[in-house]
Amino acid sequence: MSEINCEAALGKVFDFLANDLEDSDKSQVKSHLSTCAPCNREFAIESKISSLISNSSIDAQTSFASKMQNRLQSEI
Amino acid sequence: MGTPEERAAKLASFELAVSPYYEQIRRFCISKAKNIQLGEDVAQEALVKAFNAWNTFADQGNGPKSWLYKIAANALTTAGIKESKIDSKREFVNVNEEGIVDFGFDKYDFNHGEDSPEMQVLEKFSMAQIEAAINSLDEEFREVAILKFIVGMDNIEIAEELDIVQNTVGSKVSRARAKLSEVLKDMAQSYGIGLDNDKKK
Repeated sequence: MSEINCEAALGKVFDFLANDLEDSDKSQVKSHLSTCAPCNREFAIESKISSLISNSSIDAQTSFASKMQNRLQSEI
Repeated sequence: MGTPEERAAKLASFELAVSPYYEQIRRFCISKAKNIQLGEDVAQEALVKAFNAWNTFADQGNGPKSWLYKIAANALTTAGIKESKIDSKREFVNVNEEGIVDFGFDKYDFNHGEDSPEMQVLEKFSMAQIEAAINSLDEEFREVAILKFIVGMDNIEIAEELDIVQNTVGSKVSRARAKLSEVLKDMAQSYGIGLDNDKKK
């Protein structure tokens, strides 16, 4: 397996998090991350942001449902 | 109209039949408005209209879904949002049984040691910051970000909705996601500086 540099690894961060990479690309990224602390840190931040986006979607759904409940209560 | 008991019964019957569609209607309206707040407001108005007309709904055995989409489409038109294509069959493929968008993020466990201040601030971010960050993007990226991260569309659906070539969607989504990160990291940094200043006082 060939090594990749930081630039190449960081260029794949979103595809990696979206699970959009071929297995070979994924292994290259993982192997780079195991030896490169700055990239690992960057990936951790991006991963955090991805889960924030995903949690935010759940919160928006809950918040809309409760807004609807209050609004309909006021309609009757 | 009606006794308090009748009104409460109407609400209960509406909620039972229609609340499973709240989220679909919300996402549908946001996808057409390409604006989170406006889309939510229109969705709310549409659902209130549906509630007020609930006694006129005649179930043909398929449930209220297409009736609701029609009301939502009218509410969008009333709000001045051009309704080019109404696809009431759209199921939002990434939504799981609980109606929650599954973005398919890899659960790879990053070993990042001690959390940076930036990370600690990000930890506290919620829906409000994400939506503010999306709203601050330039139109080109904002529309894509709304369709991808708020509505949960896949690239094929985004291409259709924005009437752009499918193979340009992937790079647009990546760029929108990168811009979103930039904004959120800037926000985290300025919040972080704010926190440090507070500590020093």
